[in-house]
Amino acid sequence: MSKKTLWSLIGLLTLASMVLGACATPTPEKVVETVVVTKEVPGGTVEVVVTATPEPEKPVEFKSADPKTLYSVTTGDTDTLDPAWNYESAGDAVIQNIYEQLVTYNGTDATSFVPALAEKWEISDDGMTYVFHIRKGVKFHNGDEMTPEDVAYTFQRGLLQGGTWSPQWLFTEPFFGTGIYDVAELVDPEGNLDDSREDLQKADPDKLMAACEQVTNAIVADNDAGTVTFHLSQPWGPFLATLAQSWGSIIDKKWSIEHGTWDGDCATWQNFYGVSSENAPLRDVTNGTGPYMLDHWTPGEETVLVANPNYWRVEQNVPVFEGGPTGPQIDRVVIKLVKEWGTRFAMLKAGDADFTYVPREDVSQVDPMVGELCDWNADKMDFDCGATDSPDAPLRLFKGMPSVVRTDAFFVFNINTEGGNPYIGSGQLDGNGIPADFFNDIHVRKAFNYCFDWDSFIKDALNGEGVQNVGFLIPGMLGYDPNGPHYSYDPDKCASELEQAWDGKVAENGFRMQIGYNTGNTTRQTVAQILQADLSDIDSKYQIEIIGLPWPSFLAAIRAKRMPIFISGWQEDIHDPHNWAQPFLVGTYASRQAMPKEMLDEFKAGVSAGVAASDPAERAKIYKELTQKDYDYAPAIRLAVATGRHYEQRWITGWYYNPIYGADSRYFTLGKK
Amino acid sequence: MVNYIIRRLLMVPLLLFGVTVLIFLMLQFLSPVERSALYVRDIPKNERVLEGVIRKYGLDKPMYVQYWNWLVGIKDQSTGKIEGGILRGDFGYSRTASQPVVDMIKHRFPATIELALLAVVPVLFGGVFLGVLGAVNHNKFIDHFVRIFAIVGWSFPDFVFGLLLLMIFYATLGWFPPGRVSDWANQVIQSGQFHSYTHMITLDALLNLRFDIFWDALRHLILPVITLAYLWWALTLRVTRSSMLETLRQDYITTARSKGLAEKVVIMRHALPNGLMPVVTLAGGTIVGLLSGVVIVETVYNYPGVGSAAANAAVSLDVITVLAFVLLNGFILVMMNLLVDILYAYIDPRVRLD
Amino acid sequence: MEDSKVVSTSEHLLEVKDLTTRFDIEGGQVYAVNGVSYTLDEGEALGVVGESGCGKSVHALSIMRLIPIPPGRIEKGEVSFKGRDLLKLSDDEMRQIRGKDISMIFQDPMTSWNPVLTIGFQIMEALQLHMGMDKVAAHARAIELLELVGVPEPSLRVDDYPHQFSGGMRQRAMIALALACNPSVLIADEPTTALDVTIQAQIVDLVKRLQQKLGMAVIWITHDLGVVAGLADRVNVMYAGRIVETGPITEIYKNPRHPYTVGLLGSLPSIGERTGERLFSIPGEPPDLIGLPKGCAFAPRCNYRTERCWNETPELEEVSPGHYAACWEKDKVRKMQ
Repeated sequence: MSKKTLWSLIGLLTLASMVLGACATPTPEKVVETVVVTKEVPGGTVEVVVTATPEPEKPVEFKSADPKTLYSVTTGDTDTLDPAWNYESAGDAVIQNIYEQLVTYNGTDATSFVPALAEKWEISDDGMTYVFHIRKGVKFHNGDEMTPEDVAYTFQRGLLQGGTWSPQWLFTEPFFGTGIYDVAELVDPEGNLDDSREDLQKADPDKLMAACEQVTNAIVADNDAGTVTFHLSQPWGPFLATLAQSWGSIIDKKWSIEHGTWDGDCATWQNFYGVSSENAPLRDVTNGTGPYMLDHWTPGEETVLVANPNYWRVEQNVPVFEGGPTGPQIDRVVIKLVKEWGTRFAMLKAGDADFTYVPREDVSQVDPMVGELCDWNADKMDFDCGATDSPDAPLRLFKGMPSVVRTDAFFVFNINTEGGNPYIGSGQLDGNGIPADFFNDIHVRKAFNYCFDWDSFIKDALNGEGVQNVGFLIPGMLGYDPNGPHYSYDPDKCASELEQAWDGKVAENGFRMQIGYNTGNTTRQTVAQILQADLSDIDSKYQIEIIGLPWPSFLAAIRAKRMPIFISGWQEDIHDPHNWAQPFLVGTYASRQAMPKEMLDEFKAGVSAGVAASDPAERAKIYKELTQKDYDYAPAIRLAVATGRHYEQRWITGWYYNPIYGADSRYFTLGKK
Repeated sequence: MVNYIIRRLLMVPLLLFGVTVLIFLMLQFLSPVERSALYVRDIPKNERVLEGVIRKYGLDKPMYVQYWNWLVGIKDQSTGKIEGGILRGDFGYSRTASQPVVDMIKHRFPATIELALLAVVPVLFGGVFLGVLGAVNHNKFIDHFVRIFAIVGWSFPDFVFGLLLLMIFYATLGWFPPGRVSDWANQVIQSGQFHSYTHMITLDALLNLRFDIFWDALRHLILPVITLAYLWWALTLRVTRSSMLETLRQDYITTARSKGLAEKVVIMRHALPNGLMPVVTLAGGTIVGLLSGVVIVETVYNYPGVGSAAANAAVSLDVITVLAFVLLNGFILVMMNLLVDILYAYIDPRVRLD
Repeated sequence: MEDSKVVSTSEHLLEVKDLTTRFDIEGGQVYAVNGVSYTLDEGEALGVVGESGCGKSVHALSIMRLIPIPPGRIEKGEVSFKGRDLLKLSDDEMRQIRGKDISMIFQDPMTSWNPVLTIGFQIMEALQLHMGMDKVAAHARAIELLELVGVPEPSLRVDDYPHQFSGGMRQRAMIALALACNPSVLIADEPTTALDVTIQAQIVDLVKRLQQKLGMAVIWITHDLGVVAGLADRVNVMYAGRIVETGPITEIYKNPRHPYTVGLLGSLPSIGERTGERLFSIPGEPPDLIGLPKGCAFAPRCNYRTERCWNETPELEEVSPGHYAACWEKDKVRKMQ
């Protein structure tokens, strides 16, 4: 036979042998119980073996092929593993399992704290001094024992490393005062030195020294007493909540210095300030006290964690929360990065993914694979679980739990017209455009609120899984009142507000504007479409055009305040009303909206009061008042909070819901059969 | 022949220069702010710091100055260190890969090469072999079958095909998983016992005498190789077939037959060398096509090569990384064309003796 | 054992009987060769003349069995060569004859050589295949052959590629290839058509000399009667797949009896003709072989046609010894003056 035939035959044989010899990934076996029944018959016993036919009520066991390894399939890659620098969710998931904090949340309760690396703590009456008693006998992964000195160093270094891209602003405010977002502002309050190590190093050495000392005086360790004391510049309600997040992770001072961080000397701190993510010393090395250790991180591919064999909770028999485990159940966690949904879906089907992110538009693809459905019961604050129509299907779904993400539609009070602005048409109130200060009139803002159909939004953008938000807080939070003042879809009121707007000029001529969304983001597109439809229903002279933009153009337009209305989402950093009040009323969004000074000052007063109060009842009152103001001024349209979904294989045990943690990021309590 | 090769070799630096100029011009479409990612990782929020960065790296200087800086690097006035410069191997920092671009390429390129090289096998043998088969058996059943197979392959979008294969052979049957190796194999590879000579796992596994790892890697490679190769296999088949049909019509084939040569000899010795010349031309483009096809294939199969890195970068508008990928491909294309030209000279004496 | 392929002890070297080759194409069926019969003796030179499409090349390819089987088919006939019917041989047996006992040279020297192999190699192929020579012997023999056909510096040129030869040289080399294995019959299919006139003469001359020297029979196919004048002993004139006239060359030239032959002769330019006169050409066009009407195929273009010509196809009938013509009016047909 010819050479070519020979080679193709060899190829075919090789293929065949591989196919036959390949270990097929076993699909989960179902173990059906056999029941042995003994019947007595005159003359002797007769054993009759009866195999029970699988009945729907009888629990079918799901077994995985690899119970020793957990496979979490994600879409976002870790940016950095430095707890003082990381500010996004992918890295957060890894850090949460490697490091620990002074306090942590009590299981499913997002409002109360239990001791973690601190055994107990005291708060002074004026709310400005916190004393934490540091637990003894806790070892870092490299064997060093944790001391109060490590704790103090952790926070000092974090502050002194600074960085406006980092979460350190959550600490600078309580320690140094509201409005201070970076330690460099202690040296130059104008913020000119922010993020620039070079410029900071050129500053006045006395000022530098003073700034550092301000930091080291605020955080003091007492090794003999076994405590660390925090001196705040004002009472700060959210302080414990801030400490409980990943940026409160305790690191090993000796190890950290060995890896090139600040040596602890106030004369040199400016040389370690403002690292970039690429050359941060702790970017890809870790040494925590937590239940898992980093095996390796291959950027763009995977992160692998292995169980900590010397985990202190096991040795000291301290469960993570009441009723919780003391040690990790699974030896190895593989966090795999797979960006393509089709591939993730295939992995779910094949059983190679224990859980993964399912985009909202694809849930209908996954739902047929759900055999057990756990629905959130808001009264019980827990799930009710039951079988679905296909009770033997391999997945379990938790749904209905309130998420901590909300999207709003923000009005821009002073639209940037420099160099021309295509989004505002003619720029006049002549029916062909809008003026730059269009949204300065309260009637316009109220009209847009009345002309928004929340039910339609929840149905279209959230698949019906969501609830309208009242005010700028989110449901379940301190100060949130589901019956508080809020707008509803009311075309008549909308029409009447429009008639009053701008002395009747709006109703006379109508208006035209463009709202943009980044292509692919159906939520934002839906919001714009609802406004467009509802306004034109009132009168066709109220025109809104919708345009899809590529992400960078979209972002640039918003940052430059060119877009008359921008739609944006926020996920909370800490579960505290301040973390919603600050960005929405006075911080990030307020500045993007070019909020007028009087409005801003009023909000600022309320926000500062709210964060400073330590009595929860008093805080609740303050935030209720702020909600009323938010309703009166209507600076935005507060949309809806989506409810979440979490899919997992049914051989996974131990998953619990706490709104703080990303759904698939805490592996400590998880077990796998 | 030697003259020819020398002449072609001398062209290479010129062509590469042209490619770099093209890439550089594309870079100029970015604002100086975005181009700062060539040198720094986080684009500063602070206006002043941003200006400082732009000044430091000369991002507002005239184009030819910037081109030179981009090519050879720029000297930091205060520290005296040289930063950047693609000739120094610094392609900037890849935001999406969380590492310098050149590191990303170093880590991921062997994987892509492994995939592309294996894909060449079905393209060449399948495509050429079946193309010849179809031509020789013109209009018989095998010819029709082969043609239909090729049309389907050419028309099927590769990501659809890839996902389909994944659903059937992985999700349902569990035979061929996505990714590059299984976790247990990865653990062995990362350990000190395994020596990565070429960083191509199939080859290294054989060199380390670990046949279990070899089979594991091959298992992961089968579907991506098929998906990647299908398109090019189909094209090669069509070109080979039509070229062979054309060749078999030539007079010298009749001459060869009239000499009494066996049909097999006529086809192999007389028809094939002539018929394959368009395929050789195609081969250069095919290799490059394979290297760009990996962008989709690697994404679907979650295969950690430069293709999926480029896809991630493109989606997140990490222009620096995408342009590095383009530069890499441009370089490979130039080299491939050189190879093809040399191969041509070897096969076709009319070219050689000009 | 009796060899069924032995048909007769024919005294002729090659005897073609009623050879019919059909092509099945989209429009219908074409009988490119429609009942051709003739004989060829050792050392004889036969000219086969006709215009394009008359079947002269196809009949030669049919003898060599080089017709592509779909769409072609040798429908019937017998080609007896040295006592064996070539049409009944197996493929292997036929291959042994091709290039060895019967060889062929083709029209276009530019495309008849494989461009990627040397001339020498392509000649050596035949030698190694049929004569069992090894490389060295074949190489030496190839040089000899090139010298024989008049290629200058043959020891250098033998390793050259076809594109390094001129047209005329290529054709000479082709002849060398055809002669390599001492064939009994050489079929030359319009070998000078693609060459210019001076080279034409040289090639004709060469073939004639070689033929006499080696004692080969030659079938020379051409559309140009003038070309075979110096070479052929006998001529077959073909039209629409049939032989319409055949006979010794001098007879044909002096006394053509088929109107087509007359036309062919008349359209030859000759020295001494009155200048300024337009060259004669046969009016009309070659027939479309699909759906040939009954009757004489030449009738539409014929000056001598009668009613009978439209309805009955004439067969070859003797005019004088060895001279046959297929025309109802052959007695009236005379050469043009």
